[in-house]
Amino acid sequence: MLPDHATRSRMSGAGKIGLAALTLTGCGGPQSVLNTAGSDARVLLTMLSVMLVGLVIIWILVNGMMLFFNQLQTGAHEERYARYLIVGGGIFFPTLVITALLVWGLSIMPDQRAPGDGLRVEVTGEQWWWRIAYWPEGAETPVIAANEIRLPVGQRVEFDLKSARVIHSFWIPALGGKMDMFPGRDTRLSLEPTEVGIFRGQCAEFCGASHALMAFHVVTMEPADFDAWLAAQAAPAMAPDGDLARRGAAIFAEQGCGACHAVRGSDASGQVGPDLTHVGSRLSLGAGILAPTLANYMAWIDHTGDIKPEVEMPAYDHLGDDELTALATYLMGLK
Amino acid sequence: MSENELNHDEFGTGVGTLMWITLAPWIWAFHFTICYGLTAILCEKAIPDGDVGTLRLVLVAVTVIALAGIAAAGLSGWRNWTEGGLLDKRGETGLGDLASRNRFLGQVSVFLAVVSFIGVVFVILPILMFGSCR
Ligand code: HEC
Ligand SMILES: [Cu+2]
Repeated sequence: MLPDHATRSRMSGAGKIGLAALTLTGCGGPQSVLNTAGSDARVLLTMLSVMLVGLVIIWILVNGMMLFFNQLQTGAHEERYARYLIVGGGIFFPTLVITALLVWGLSIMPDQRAPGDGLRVEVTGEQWWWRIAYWPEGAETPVIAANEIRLPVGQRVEFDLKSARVIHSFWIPALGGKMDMFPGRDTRLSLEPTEVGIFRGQCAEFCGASHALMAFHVVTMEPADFDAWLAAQAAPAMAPDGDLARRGAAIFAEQGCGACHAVRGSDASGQVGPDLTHVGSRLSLGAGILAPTLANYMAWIDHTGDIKPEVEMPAYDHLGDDELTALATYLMGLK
Repeated sequence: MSENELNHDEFGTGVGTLMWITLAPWIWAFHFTICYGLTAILCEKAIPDGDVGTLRLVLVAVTVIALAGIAAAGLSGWRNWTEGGLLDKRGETGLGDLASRNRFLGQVSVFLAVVSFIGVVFVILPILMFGSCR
């Protein structure tokens, strides 16, 4: 569950308890390499497990030998025997282990770079949100979205990763490894989700004041559900429904939100901030950090910079509660 | 054994010839630069999505030459190291006299050759296992 902004600021008292609970439940949850939902993540987890077990065995062996030679057999050792131990345990064994791990590691790398089965997703790291463009096979124009990624299960999807200004890193722990995003250079990653579910991704390279608040939800769906969802995302925004929402749309236009935000089907066509055409359909607000509630929408517009330090959206604290309610209602209606 | 009787003293006494013990690591460094440099340039400029077969053949040839060079460097080191019989009978290597200096430098170059050999094999593995520039 995403915290409500109001409870978030009051949380510090319970912080310690919360942190303990987090560490205890850290093995499961939507953002864990141990809770895999994709073939690439599974391979990495296998590798991690094998290395961990091997590491423990080697650790016990080395420490056991230290104990043995320090405490149990402290006399001089035959030189020949000592040399076998050093050459065998110090040269042959490590070389063998490292070679085996290298060959294994190299053998799984091509998969993680393999071309996709058709769908390509272009993700651009912005400060501090994600610009997303879906390119279904054969498409001439992309379907634009932001701050949430949906994927069909059972297909390999290729990610084209870019960055606007600084280095970010794209990481969905449940689905696979991470890949850096560089300004002026494209990087690639491909992922194959295998299970339906809701997961979480996070920027994994420090990118400024709100780096830790740059996350996103990942929803993996059955292919048919995905196709229906994508078709809905490609459609222009729904007309505001009801007086309050219509008033919100008017305030949106008046306040010039459209200079930065696009709402396809209206006059708003700004490209500075996230596309809001279907913002109401997202599972979070502000790049994975807030639950999409009316109170959070209002708080976000009212004091953006308090929620996300140095954010590139001005705070609209001159608006009254009724105006904020209208705006929030309008935005939440953009399903 | 007097100094003049040494069969193998490739490392001589001068500082300049001391550099011979770094021959194997130098080959490793050249091999590394050629493999990475050639692959990067060709994958960027010539064959981004194309066939890496020829590149692979060329690099395998470079690798064979590099490994032969390293083996030769190691062999020359081995001869100096084992000059005058097995280590056990001669006591420790060191820098006390020309003979033990030679043994020591021989031993060092054998170890460096082993490390370089492994390094070169590790460098060539990716291009053998990846079928493309991706
Ligand atoms: C100067 C450009 C700018 C203006 C003007 C602007 N915004 Fe934003 N807005 C942004 C940026 C940039 C972000 C992304 C911030 C982040 O998450 O780092 C954003 C994010 C948002 C989000 C969250 C989107 C998501 O995917 O979760 C909402 C909702 C939003 N703005 C609403 C508004 C409204 C309503 C107005 C007008 C009252 C407005 N914005 C005016 C730049 C702007
Ligand atoms: Cu970032």
